Amino acid sequence: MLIDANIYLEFLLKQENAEKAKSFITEISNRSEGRAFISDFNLDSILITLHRNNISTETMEDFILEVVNSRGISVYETTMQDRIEALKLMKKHSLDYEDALTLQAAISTNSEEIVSFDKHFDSVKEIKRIEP
Amino acid sequence: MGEMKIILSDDVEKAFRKAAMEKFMYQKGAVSKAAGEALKNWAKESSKHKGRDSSWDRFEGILKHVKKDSVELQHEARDYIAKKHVNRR
Repeated sequence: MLIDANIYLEFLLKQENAEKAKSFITEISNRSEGRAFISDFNLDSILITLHRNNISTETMEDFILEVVNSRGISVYETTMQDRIEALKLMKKHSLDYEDALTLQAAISTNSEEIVSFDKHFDSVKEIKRIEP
Repeated sequence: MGEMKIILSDDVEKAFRKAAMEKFMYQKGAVSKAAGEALKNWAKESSKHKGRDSSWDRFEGILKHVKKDSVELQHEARDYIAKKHVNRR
């Protein structure tokens, strides 16, 4: 499965589904089996959001380390080929570039599901969107 | 015995060779011994971090002063990058 940035942002914001999102990330992070991914550009979106909202660089570093040290979650590094494929997906599913690249990252990691609160993925038949 | 070929910057290589020679008294194989020790320590340290349980509690609510939802905020980060690049031109 591929985890979208908004799942992390939900509990950073402490919103309605924060508890569910945090429990989900904690459970997946501590799994030793199975594979979940977050793409590098989704991680960047979170870091940019943290920076733009006055979170210290120390906390940002702490956040990165927590992600990379998660046993059950790997950071997927998007390739140039992913970007080219994403352009095709933009056209096919009328997605914006970021959502298309997230979808392509899910395809490249053989993910069957995208964990996201973003309903834009509901129109995509290839991959199922789930919420925590 | 395994063999690894690694690429290092000149500065790192120079500093590492110097430290290895000093530690192993200019013995034959000093660099290999030092590299073995360094890699073993690194692997141990790395698996120590990877092996511990994650705890996300300390991050909960660090953005609670932001009155936007998570999807909106994610898209805002994207728009911010796009705007920044356009303004640079």
